Amino acid sequence: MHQEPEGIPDQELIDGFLRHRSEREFRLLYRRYAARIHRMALHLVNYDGPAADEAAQETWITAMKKLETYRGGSTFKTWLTGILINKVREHRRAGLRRPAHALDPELGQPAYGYPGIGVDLQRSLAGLSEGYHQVLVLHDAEGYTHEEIAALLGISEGTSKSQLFHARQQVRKFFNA
Amino acid sequence: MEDSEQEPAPISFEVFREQHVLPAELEGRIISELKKERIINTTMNTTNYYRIAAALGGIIIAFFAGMYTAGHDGGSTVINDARRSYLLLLREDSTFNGTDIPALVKEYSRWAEDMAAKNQLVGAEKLTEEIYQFGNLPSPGGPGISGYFVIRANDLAEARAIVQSHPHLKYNGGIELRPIDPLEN
Repeated sequence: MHQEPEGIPDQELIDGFLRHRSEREFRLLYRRYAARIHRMALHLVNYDGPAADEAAQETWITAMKKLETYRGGSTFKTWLTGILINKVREHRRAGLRRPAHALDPELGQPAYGYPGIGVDLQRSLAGLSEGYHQVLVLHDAEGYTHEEIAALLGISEGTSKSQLFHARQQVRKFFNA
Repeated sequence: MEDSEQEPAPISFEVFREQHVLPAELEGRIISELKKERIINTTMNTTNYYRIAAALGGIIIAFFAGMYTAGHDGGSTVINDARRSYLLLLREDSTFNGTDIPALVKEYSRWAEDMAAKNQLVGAEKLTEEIYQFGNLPSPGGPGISGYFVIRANDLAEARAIVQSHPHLKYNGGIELRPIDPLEN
């Protein structure tokens, strides 16, 4: 196709993939959201590169398996992010990866470094509870609205706002200490 | 309720966003898994598919150009004899399994030459890959239509037999046959 992938609506790409199951159509969908999903995965696994790769990979595979169930009630981006959040939760339950909030900020050095995320910033995030951490990265790092966050995490918009307030307050306290 | 929207975020993720690099190998790894689980078709990789689609289109164009030089009335669906005209839409998707392009070129050309020799070919052209759809489409054609032929036949039965003889079907390609309305009175 000569058309730029950006010009094709998500639903058209999804329908095309479901009709043809072709590699090309998958690549168009993947390239549109891959960076965002991988970034989000990094936030959720405390910037552990291999863990983020694994979570992103599983997210895409599950999404493509369940693509027929996507009804367009939320944006495709939000739908993918929901799958990613579940993947990260599954990993935590299985004890496969260390959760971000389990890192002890008193340890001095986080377990993993990542370009663009300073040690202090990573430590400040690692000190947050899981709920605070998720809301803060979804909102402040990736620009999700409280309405989207509420739907993604199964909480109310009010809870999302309140958690963001407390998460920011805690981070400020960390930097002012 | 605290109005968190009004406060500036204490952390900027701008540098992280700018420096983030998506691991290039991830795409290949995911595709390989999806193929293993048969979520992506593996009959033909898409690069080959598009090469073949382009080659088929090329055959059609080359033949059509040849018809003009041979003095046929190619391109026009208005005919003077009693036969009807039929539109053949050639389609193929990633399950198309003709991979030997030089052999396909020969085979398709031979089919077209036979049709022309019998004075049954009116026109043929390659379509671009752009699709513009309008209105309510009960079953959208989508990508995969690489070209069309317009043929002449005495009746639908003959047209069907002509379609059945096209090598495209042998390779799991599809052909849509559409009788052209002569619009007589």
